[in-house]
Amino acid sequence: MVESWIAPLEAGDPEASWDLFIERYRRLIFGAIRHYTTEPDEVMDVFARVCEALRGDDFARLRRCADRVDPNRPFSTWLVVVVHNLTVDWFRHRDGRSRLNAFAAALPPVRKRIFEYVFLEQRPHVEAYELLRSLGGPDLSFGEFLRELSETCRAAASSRGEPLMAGLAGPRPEGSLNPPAADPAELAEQQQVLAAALESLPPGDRLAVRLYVVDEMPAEQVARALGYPNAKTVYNRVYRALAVVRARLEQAGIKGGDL
Amino acid sequence: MTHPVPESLVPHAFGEGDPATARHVEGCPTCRAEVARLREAAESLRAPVSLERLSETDDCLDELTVADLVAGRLGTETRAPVVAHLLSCARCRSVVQAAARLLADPTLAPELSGAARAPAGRLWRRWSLPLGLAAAEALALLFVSRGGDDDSTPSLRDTTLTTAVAPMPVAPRASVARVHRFVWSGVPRAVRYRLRLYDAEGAVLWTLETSDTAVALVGSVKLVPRGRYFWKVEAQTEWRRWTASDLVEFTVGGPSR
Repeated sequence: MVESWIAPLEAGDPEASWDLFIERYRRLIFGAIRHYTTEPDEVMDVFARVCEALRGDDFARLRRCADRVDPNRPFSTWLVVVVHNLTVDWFRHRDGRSRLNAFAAALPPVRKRIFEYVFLEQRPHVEAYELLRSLGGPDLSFGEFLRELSETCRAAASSRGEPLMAGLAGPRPEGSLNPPAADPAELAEQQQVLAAALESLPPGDRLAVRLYVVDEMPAEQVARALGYPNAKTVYNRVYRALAVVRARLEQAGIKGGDL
Repeated sequence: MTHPVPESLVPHAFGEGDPATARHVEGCPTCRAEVARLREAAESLRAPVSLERLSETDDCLDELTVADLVAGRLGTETRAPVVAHLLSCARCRSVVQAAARLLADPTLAPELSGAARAPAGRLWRRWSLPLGLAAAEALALLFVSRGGDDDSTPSLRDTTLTTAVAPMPVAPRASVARVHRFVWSGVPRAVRYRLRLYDAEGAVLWTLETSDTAVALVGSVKLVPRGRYFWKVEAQTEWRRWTASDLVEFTVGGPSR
């Protein structure tokens, strides 16, 4: 597809380029933003942020992309990735420590701090746990912390929508809850056994398992990303990988529920 | 009893299964046990989420690489380092997941396929105004920071901009009885000027290019009494180089509405 906005941009007329660009893509931008919020003020604010970022630094972001656009690389795919990143960044910035939004402010104290550490400051769960304990938080076991985290994720997703919360904090830690590892050190130790089990698999298959099982991406999309012929290939690889994991854990005397 | 092939239990175990498999599993203790084992192993894989980094680093994938990955456009060789990174980066995996989800969103399908074409719009153009001004302010800040000795200050794409003189709108400004023409100050070595007139919502009412520093308002552009308008003028001083004036506001025939 010919991107009509590129020619004026390269010819030194960015404003004319911008007019063409925004006329062609504004609906896609709005649609992608509404994937994360339908609150009108937020939609407009994020849209303004997206426009600002695309125009910023003498249209540098658009220029970089224009340099690499070709007919086999639809520009719209790149644009939705950009909109996702900018939307998540906008919410993280808007909801920053000094301005926790109404949702976070209404959380119980422990979950409010978990929200800050994990959602806003993007700390790994283990780091958030240690920080919570070292800064005078309640004396939670790691398992109890994970339960609080999972509840925080659940409340956030029901309040602000799953896509936005997944963008802010990654996948929920639900799998580790029944029963959870006693402490982070134990979790790390068990992880070494898992890592060794997965090491025998090709990297693509390991990623297929992560994307399909942990991140819950549809099998067809996993197949496309990894160059597999179809979703059935993903099911085959996942089945094989899970069998390997199971066998290795049994050898090590670890039951699935221990993790 | 004929059991489904074991791999076909995977989609059933993770919520993608077909009704026939679901019916079989419901009545088959062997397959139910196998599904339970699959889910148990999956739980063990979900636990490491707690150890993973969520913040962005210099090694994280750029937006084009993520786009190419989810669209299946990476070749085997280029995909290998991307896969290696994703195995250890929950942040980038979440971006990949989000991109895949957006691309699968049926409400975006017409826009993504290029089948939809936005009608000639007006409201979106309002963003040209504040954003253009914001960009100008950012540029001005960058000029200031370049005055220091800090070598780490990012450089501009083209330093000639720093010495360019922008045209200055002379008339109309503020409140005017009527508008017959637009006048601005000249810029040395300018080869042409481009004027843009906007309404209060930011819609472009009129665009004109000229080599002169004044133009008469054409009859086809009707300015409403007490209406609020903005205009700016850009000067082309060399090949591919434009400098823009500030945006100037004016109202016609009295205070704005």
